[in-house]
Amino acid sequence: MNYSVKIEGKSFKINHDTTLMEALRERGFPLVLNCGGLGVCRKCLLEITSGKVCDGHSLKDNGKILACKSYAKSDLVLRIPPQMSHYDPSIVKEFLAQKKIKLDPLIKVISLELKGQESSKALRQRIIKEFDKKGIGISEISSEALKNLEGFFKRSCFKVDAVVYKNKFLIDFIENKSKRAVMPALAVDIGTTTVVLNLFDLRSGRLLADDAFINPQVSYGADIITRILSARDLLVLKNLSFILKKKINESIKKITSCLKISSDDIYIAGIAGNTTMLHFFFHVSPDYLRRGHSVTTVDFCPQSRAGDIDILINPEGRILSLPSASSYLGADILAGLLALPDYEEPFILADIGTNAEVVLGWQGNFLAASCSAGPAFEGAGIKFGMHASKGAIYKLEIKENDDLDYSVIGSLKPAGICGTGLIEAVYELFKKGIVNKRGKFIEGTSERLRKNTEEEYEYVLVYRRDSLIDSDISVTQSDIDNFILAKGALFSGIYFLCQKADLKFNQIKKFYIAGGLGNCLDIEKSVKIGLFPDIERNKFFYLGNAALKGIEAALLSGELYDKSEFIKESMVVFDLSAEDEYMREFTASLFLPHTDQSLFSNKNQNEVKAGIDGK
Amino acid sequence: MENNMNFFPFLNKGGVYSLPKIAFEIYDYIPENYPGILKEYFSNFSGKPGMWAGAAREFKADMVCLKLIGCHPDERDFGTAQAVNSVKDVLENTDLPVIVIGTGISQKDNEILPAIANHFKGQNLILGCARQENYKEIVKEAKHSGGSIILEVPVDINLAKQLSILISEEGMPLDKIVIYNTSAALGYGFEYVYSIIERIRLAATSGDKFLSTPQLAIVSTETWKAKEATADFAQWGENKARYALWEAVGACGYLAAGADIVVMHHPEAIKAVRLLIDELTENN
Repeated sequence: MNYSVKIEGKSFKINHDTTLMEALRERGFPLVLNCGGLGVCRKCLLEITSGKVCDGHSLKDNGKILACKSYAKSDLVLRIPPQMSHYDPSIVKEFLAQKKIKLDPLIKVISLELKGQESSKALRQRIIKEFDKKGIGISEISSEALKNLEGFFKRSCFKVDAVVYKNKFLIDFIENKSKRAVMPALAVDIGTTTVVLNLFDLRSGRLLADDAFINPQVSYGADIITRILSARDLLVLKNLSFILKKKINESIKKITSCLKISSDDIYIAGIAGNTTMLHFFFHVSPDYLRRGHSVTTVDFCPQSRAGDIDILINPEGRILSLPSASSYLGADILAGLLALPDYEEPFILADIGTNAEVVLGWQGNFLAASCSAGPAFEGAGIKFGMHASKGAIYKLEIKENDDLDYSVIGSLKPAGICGTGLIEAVYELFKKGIVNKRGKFIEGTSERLRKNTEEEYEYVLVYRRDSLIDSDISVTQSDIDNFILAKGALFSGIYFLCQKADLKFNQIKKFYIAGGLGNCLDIEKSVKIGLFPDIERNKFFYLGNAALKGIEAALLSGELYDKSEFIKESMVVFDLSAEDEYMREFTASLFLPHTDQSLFSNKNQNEVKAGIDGK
Repeated sequence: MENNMNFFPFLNKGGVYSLPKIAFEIYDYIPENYPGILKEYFSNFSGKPGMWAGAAREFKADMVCLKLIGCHPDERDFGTAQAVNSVKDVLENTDLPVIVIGTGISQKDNEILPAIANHFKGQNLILGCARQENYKEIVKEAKHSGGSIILEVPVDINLAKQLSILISEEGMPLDKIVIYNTSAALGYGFEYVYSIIERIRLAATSGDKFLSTPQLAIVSTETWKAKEATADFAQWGENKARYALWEAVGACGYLAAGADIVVMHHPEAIKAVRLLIDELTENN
């Protein structure tokens, strides 16, 4: 039996034996499923406006239902509750630390002119000779180019532009007449949660257009491990690759038509992403990643022909990536290293997200580790946590008289709190003495503190009347505990690497922050709760989306691209879970700011103590 | 605050500041599974902790450690009044410093320990144990009593330091805190606890004031739990001597690691350890 479903202005048909989740997923609705559809995380809530639904137990005709467990029992009109609304990643802005790159793009357009005289040599040989004269050694001409060879030359009176890849491969001929204003190239950062595309000009490095969307794979699980587990089913693996590429292609179509250029004009795309994402993209099973120690199936992704892997740029165009250093340190962190402006050593690069990769650059080596902070920084696993999108609290201040000031992204009323907001909340609660050094709520310190239905303490940030959703927005004890685990993981990872290199924090010259969390981050507050080491604040730099910048840089400069292999070889990867001392460092960092108070300046200690004594 | 733990055990640094102490463990009630070997010495003292405490002098113990086993809900579930009486009995019959250790059940300890702290102000009792989940209730009363508090952590140097910081922030002076990492008998994790005690002592010598507290090691009950110590198995040797040795070796090990107070209950073991301490420190 088929029923019709209307949701968010779209209508479609649904079968009676397909769950709402499956149906919506097929149609591209980016439902985030942290638990991969097990009915546990409750992030797939939908509201019934009209119609009947069976939620696995009973028939419901109103209220909220879990999409992963529900089947349609009649024609339906549904809506997505406000806190689950579409993640608009374009809100994530960037702060650039500019890098000067010597332009030597991987794709070049070289003008050729074969003098008209008859020659006994084959046309192909003559072309190669012409290139030779220019000092470029062509080793291969693509079959597509060969097919069009004669026609092209005849038509254009022996004057053509050749598209050359890496100064070695002649991949296409283009009309000299249609002098292009730009030479577009694509850079894609496939994040676990968000995919970002940049279309930029290879001639100048200038950004032409960009787009971002939620990685459609989230409907198979919010985190990497859940997706890898689902992908043991080869059909699912195929689908994961398929839906990702499909969305990327849609995005390419969208931006090229906006710019009124043809996607055939794009001859190169660079893909950055963590190791698992790259495996999925190139349709390689990542199953080994989750077993044992750092075993990747592929550590260097092949340079594929676009036509071979169904990416809709010019079929002769090349799709390439950067090497992965280990199962958790992928092309994204490598790209991040490429993106660094000329750096001084020792430096730290921290990519703050679920994986929380940290790199310490010292004496030509890159000591790296994945801190596995967990999703708290991205708002997952937090009761009212959400991505940094419309409705997210990203700044807050606790004032006198239990008053609270907060700032919300894109809206006046909040629907939840994002990673940055959580950092602010923990700092404020700590400063005001509402939580102790272990992050535990102290009874009687605030009117906003209460016990909730799960018998744990929570602090109300926003009361229902002021919120966008149908309830109070609060921060629970579990939220803070999870956050402290995340910040402890990151800090102890940094501490561990510095110890390995025998460096003290005050020796660090630059601290680069990458990842979406970086853009609204308050450095001072982050240091005071022990998220970052206590080093001079002017040493911190935001890189924005470093992975994207890095892959762009690699496409813009052959030298940098070649350097990536060298960087990979210079990376010394530590598996923190296998290091004896790490556990001790981790436990020590589960204190605000840290068990070893000498790591954080005295000034800080006094300020905090005043808050506690005062209460 | 001056660091008072800036030397290693048994070393004399311009006059040893404090000698390691042996605490003689007694109970308010002797449970069924009390080792037969010890019943021979002490079975008459069940319910008479005062008299039992008196015996400490005979073995030359430095302190008395009263463990309120009778108050445990699974034993006799004695109430607060009875607990207070047991302590009173002990205090009246000895002039050695007294340690009082509760049941280990937070709910019960939160009733009896604060009451004892309150009742015996000025008696300089050492009360235990305060854990992460119930330290506040105990410190609230203990800090006004003039006595000390023992904090208990599951063998982790960071947790010990964190709890020490939190307890001192609740108002307990730093020189009234004793750290207890849940001890283990020989063969049951002894080395692990040894290394933590040693690490804490090392941290203290480098000036960490939150870890510069005396450390407690409870060897008595742990040895009692070890079947190798109690089993009457001829191939393992004569079991009376074996028990005493098991306890003595455990105690000596912990003392070498840096424990300042070892809680013991076998008279022969106590004698042996007493000899060791006296000899190692006598000529200093």
